Amino acid sequence: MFDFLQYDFIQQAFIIGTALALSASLLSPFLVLNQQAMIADGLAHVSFAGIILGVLLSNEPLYLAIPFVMSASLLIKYLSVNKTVNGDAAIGLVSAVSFAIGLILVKKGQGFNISIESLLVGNIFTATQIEMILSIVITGLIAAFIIIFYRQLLLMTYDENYAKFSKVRTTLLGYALSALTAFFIVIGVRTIGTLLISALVIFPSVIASQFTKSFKNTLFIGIISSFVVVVAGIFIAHPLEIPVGSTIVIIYAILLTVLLILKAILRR
Amino acid sequence: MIDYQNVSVSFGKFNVLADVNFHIKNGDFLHIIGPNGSGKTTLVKLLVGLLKPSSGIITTNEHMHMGYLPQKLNSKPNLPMTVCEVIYSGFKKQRLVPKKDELDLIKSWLATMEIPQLLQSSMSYLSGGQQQRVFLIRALISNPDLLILDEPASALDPSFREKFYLMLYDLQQKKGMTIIHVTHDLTDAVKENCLTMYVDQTIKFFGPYQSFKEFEHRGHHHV
Repeated sequence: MFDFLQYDFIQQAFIIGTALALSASLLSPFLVLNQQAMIADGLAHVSFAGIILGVLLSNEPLYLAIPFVMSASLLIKYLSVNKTVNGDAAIGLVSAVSFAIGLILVKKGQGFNISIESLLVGNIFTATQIEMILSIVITGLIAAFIIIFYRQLLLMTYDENYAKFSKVRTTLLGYALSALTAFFIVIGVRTIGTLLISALVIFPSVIASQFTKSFKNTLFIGIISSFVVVVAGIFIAHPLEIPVGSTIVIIYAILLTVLLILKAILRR
Repeated sequence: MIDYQNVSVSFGKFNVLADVNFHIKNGDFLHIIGPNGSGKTTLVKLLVGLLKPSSGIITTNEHMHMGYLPQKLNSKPNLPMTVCEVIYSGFKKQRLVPKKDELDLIKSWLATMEIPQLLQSSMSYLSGGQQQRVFLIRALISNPDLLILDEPASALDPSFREKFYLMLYDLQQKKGMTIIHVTHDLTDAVKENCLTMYVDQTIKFFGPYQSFKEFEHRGHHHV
């Protein structure tokens, strides 16, 4: 049954899947537990435009899409830090405008063979080697960022005012977190899809916080569940010929439902 | 030392503090009282750097390490955080103890605050008074030179409250810690040789507690 593992594209999909599972679950508590879960969704919409722009203007769309989405993430952060607009409104504005631009570009660039469906759903099995390398790079960057700044990020997530008082550079760390999220999202959109990538960021913390009341354990349980679910998603989706992103999200949803039911039963 | 010179704060046309001038020395214990909305919290937020004055200058010692207990606590009750993690997050970069001693230090403070059993408890399961003790430890864990407490006793039960103030005076006397204490209730809090400030948009009284009693008797202060 594991015969298909010998194919290069499957191996590559596992590497990318593992990298994305790790990055998403590392980002998860710092975004989800800080009321920023929707930034992933917003940036996925921005990536849609970024990748189309990349396809139109360059041979390697990611080289354009990554800086494009990172800039958008900084803009969102800037708007919300300066209280120009609410955080969620800032995400809504920037993502809608980008998505609108993306749709116009698709229409006008039809000679370039851009499939909207492939952008919305993603395909981890057709990923390029560059995408694989970049997924490893972003995982390394995110892991290093979180290991180095763990205490500051923890304080910032829990109590931003106390973090400011403690001279934690909350604005700078916030921008860095946004930019890293943006980088991750672009790779994720190519492989998991625009519409589903945010689930990869949201589920780990939601699942983990059913088990534990500690932040560190939330992070660890999130990493484990993310890894298991993503790998299972690739395993199940390939032979059934269904989209990997959808499979992952459905497994997550089943897992969460089972956990909530178990919790309710145990509480009686 | 801490020095406020002509400090004013206004939000738009609304004046919160006007023309605040005072000076305290290292090792002073200052109680700040005043009615609701009088600007007490604003006055200390300026000191900890969470607000900037609209005009005026605040001078403090260079390299002074502050501990701070904010008025609003546990703003994210649903966030999974243990007592240990909340305190751990309060370690200051400049005042880190060696990694292996961090846990022992946290444990000894929990014992001092009479909540040793709560080390791995979830913050969201604690009572208001227990949470307040945890935040006090977070303020004290880096051994600050200046401790700023905004309504620290509001959720403490009366028996612990008394011990708590004795502990603060002990820190002031033995470690020379400067303490600024914002409250609306001076019960159990005052001792000889402490300073008192009555704030209502501006400083209405500033001086030793003994003189404050006279000021109070003259009818300037209704609590």
